Amino acid sequence: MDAKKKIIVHVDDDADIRTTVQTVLRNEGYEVRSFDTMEYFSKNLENERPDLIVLDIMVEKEDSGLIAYDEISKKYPGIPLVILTTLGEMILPYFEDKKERICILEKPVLPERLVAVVRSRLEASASGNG
Amino acid sequence: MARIEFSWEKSEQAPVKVARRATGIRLSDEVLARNAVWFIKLRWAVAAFLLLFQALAIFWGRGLEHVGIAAGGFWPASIAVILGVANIWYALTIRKEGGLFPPAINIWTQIIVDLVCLTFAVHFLGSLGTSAPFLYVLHIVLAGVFLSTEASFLVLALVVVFYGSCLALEYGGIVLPHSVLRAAAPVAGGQDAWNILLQAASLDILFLLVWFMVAQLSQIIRIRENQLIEAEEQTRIAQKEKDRYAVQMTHQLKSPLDAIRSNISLLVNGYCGALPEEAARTLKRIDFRAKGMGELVIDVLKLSRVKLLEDPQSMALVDIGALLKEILAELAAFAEKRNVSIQAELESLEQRCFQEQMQMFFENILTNAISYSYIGGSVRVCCKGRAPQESCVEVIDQGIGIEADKLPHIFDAYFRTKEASEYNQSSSGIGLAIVKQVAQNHGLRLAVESEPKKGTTFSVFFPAQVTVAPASAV
Repeated sequence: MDAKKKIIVHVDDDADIRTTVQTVLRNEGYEVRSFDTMEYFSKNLENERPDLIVLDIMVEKEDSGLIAYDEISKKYPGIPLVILTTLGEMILPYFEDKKERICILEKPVLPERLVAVVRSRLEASASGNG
Repeated sequence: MARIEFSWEKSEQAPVKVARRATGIRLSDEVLARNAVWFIKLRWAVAAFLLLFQALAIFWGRGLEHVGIAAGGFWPASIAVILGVANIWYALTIRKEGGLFPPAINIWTQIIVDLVCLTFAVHFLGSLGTSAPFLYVLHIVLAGVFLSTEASFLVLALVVVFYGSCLALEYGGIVLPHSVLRAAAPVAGGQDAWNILLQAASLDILFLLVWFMVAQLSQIIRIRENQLIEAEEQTRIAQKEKDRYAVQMTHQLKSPLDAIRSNISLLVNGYCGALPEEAARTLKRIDFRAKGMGELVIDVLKLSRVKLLEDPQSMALVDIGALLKEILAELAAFAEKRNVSIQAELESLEQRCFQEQMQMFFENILTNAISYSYIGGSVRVCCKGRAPQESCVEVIDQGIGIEADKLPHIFDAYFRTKEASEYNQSSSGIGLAIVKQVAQNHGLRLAVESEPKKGTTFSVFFPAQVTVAPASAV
């Protein structure tokens, strides 16, 4: 499958961040689906399985991203997850046992950094190490 | 060159767990087990004393008889051996997690073994006419201090039963009464039954009084202790709430900045078309200041976090040398951007610490060393795992340095020298306040040596609890 047709889902309640992520990743040839609520995102996840998910942590509620992270990890262990949050690594205490594996990017992420992380996570997932 | 040392008192936390029950307050199994450790030591001392007495009886029997002590038989050595075996068994089982028996059963077994041994000792030393029965008071006091009121009363009841049985067996003609004091040597059937009963009853009343007083005092102390623990729990809840609030505030303050900077990044990276050069430069300046503001917000959250009381149980053994290596790898791009070279001599140094705090601590010191180095300068980082006295980490830069009169204030939040503000506009002024708080949390000693326009050396001294792993260049 052509890497440029991979589907990336991004969940964030900040329109400016959604626009940035969309613009940067679409420019790299990815299909980007943006959601401003976890509810819409969850409904969509049942119909379409993305290749990678970029999650904000504080969407509507302070822990909705954490809950979504746990649910997706259990239900769809094959989908790589990237956390894109305002707090950066300051959210690590909430992850306790997953600290080593979790991929956290602090907002605002540089476009080249976002592209590099998405690409490497997709490659790792394709090779079965994701 | 000016040098100043900083050390801050470590706030000690001694969490003591008290389990509440409907009928009273008792210490938890964990606390019982911990307090029993010194009791093992006391018992070793008693066993050693008994063995010494046995040796004197064997090798200096005549001398003892001369001072009125009749030490016959091998009872002291026998009791010492039983106590020794009980001690070894106890020491082995008390440390073993998920052992065969819960600590409470283990402790009760030890109490009964002790009381049986003591009753034998009382029998041989002299159950009447000597002060041997007063040894029971020690057990009653210890039980009153460490056990619940009900449990310590049970120990008192056991003492009464054991001592009463000893007297009944001796003066009922089943075993011969005994005494180490020749003058008080009892004669079988030579004591009036009512007299024995009276002596035993008066001793039992004394035991009861001692138990009552100790149990009452212990109860008062435990209630106070429980109140302290409840207060500590309330503090922890308040701290969690404070952290939650700090996280929300940080999010609310930084989110608009992130949105602004995200849009700037689209503009300056050409996603919205080419920009005039001057416009791109202006946007980068806006981004630089917004970045500084964002970092300040995050630093305030970091400072707030390191001020929280952490559970000492969450400390982990961290290799400081490896941690420094990771941080230097993260900062490599930043150093390269500033054309600052880094030389690292990192030995393995294991230290019990809060890992995230220690990471923030060294990130701040190293970022400062790079930020305040002159372009093209160098930073040297040494981690001495096998220093002769104290293990330490040194971070040496050849940067702008600090004036001698400013040195005492560098760890104050928001304090920045005029030179530092001019040289590095983006700093929040909180980094070294975080360093101070982490040093305080870990009982670290810091030394700062600096000369303006020559550079600064930060030395971090770890307390003596350091475990040194085999040294290897990282």
